[in-house]
Amino acid sequence: MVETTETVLEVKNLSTSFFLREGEVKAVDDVSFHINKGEVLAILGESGSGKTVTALSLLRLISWPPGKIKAGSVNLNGQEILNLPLSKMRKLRGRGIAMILQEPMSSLNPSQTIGSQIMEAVQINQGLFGEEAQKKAVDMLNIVRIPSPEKRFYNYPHELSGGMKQRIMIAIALSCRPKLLIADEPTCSLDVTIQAQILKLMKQLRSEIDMTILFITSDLGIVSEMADRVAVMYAGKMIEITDVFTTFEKPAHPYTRGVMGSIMAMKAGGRLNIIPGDPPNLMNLPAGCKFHPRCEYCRDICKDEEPHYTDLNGDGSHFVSCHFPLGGRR
Amino acid sequence: MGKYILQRLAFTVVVIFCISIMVFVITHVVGNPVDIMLPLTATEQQRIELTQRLGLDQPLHVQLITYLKDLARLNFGVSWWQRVACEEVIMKFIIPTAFLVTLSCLFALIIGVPLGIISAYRPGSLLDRTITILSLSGVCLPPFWIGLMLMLVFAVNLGWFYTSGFGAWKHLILPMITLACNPAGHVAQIVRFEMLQQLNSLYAITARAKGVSEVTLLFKHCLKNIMVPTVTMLGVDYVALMAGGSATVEVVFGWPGFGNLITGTIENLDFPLLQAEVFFVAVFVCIINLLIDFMYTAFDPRIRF
Repeated sequence: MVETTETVLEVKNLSTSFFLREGEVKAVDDVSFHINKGEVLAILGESGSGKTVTALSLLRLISWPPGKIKAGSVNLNGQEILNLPLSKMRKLRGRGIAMILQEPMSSLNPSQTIGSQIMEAVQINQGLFGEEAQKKAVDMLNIVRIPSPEKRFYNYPHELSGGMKQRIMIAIALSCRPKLLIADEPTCSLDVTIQAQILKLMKQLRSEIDMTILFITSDLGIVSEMADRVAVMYAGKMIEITDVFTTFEKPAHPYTRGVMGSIMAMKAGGRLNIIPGDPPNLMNLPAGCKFHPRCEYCRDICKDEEPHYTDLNGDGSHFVSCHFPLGGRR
Repeated sequence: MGKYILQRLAFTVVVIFCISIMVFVITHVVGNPVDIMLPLTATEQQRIELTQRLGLDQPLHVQLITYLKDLARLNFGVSWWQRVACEEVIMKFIIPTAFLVTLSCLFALIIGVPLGIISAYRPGSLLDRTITILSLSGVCLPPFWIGLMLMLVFAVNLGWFYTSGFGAWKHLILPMITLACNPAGHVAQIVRFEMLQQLNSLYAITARAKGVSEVTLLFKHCLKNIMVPTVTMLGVDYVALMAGGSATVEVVFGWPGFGNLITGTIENLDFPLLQAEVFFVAVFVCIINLLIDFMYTAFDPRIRF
């Protein structure tokens, strides 16, 4: 799927920080990546690694105070959006970039029917009103496989189950007809059968309406299922980006390898191979490479100097930020 | 729903029963009404006669039982001070107060909600800080002082309104504004606080992410969600004002209302009237609370009885 060259989103050196009383938290630090049209890019990382903040920064929904996008550029279809006036940014939200939040339980307005919440997205982004908009909203309920949509249209969020609410979130996001859909752990609070249904649904819809997806998750199973390429985040940094096959089979960053190693070991029936130590405190990051205290390949240079983001194969197919990438050229 | 109303009514009866006994006990220990009703020159014979006539010579528990029996038949007796049936006295005084207090609370809602929303829209701005100071003043300044100041400026110096009395709209405006200050301050503060929470909620992010503007978000999405705490707050203020809280302002503006009546009743140790007043207030509080509970269902679909 990587043969398409049209870039939908190009992010360069994005940095977002939260300024708390205790100090600055660099939630996203100098992150760069791009997504091609029709592709699914998964951002993989443990909780607190900056995945959600990256997504919210793309929509400019970081609220100040305490959060602020400090630097960088976000280019959507050739348009720089970080310096757009707010009124224009608002028009871009929805039809440009839509987002599915990770918490379906509290991400819907409790005092409005789900129908009117979907209809609102239709009205704003497709310019349809009245009965037309309502028909479209019912269609969307159908698309996300909500049974008896005409009745469910008038339900309030508390009358639906978690899985249904998540599907409503997807329906709202899809009603915007976005060029880029950000799905932030859309299945993390659901049980496995519903999870599978929703992933299947997203895959189908993606081919039906030719959408580009930025998929945020900490679940390796979902990554292998959904992604074309994978970006790995650690402590606010993007440490490795490559296609899904390479990520799983020949990861170059020791952290990625550690993560993958844990499943390899399990497949082989061996001991669970976990990365020693804990993720760093974002308030008090180590000097040099953020991963060095936990890295088994750590040398002196890793403790002092932050590694550059390097193009491992020279063709843009594999970026890694490590002084001593595994299995690649040194 | 029907079951819920019955439960609430049963509960109301228990509450009113307990309050009635408390009022009876408190009134009968605070002083002797005979001292107040008779002139200082009255003879011992006259004092004994009046005590017997009022039934105060009987043992306390007998008096209590007589009182409860009368109450059960909604017979409140005749006011010793006004010399007419208690319910008549109360009706005459409660209507002007209900009129004044209801208008004040509506006014407070009309003023407080927009101020709170404006505050929450740009938290920390000059406008927000100004409104916060205003609403704090509304809550903290004593109403009788506000009343006197308004009277000084708008009635005495400018002559736009009357200083005191009851009848024309020129009588109404100043006491209405005075009484509204306190609840308006409360409403503005609670609207600001709740609105900020709603604006930072996840569903607000969902709404913004689909392209909803801030103004639409405020009015279409958040306003309904802040109504439950706001109505609760205003309900508490409304009941407090009705239950005698309007007394000082009524005195300042010579408003012939319930607050004035209660203070007079206490000064005169008019036991039957005081007991009847407390009964009315208790019933009123229970009814208003029931109404507010039902109002919740209009704002929050999760609340059903």
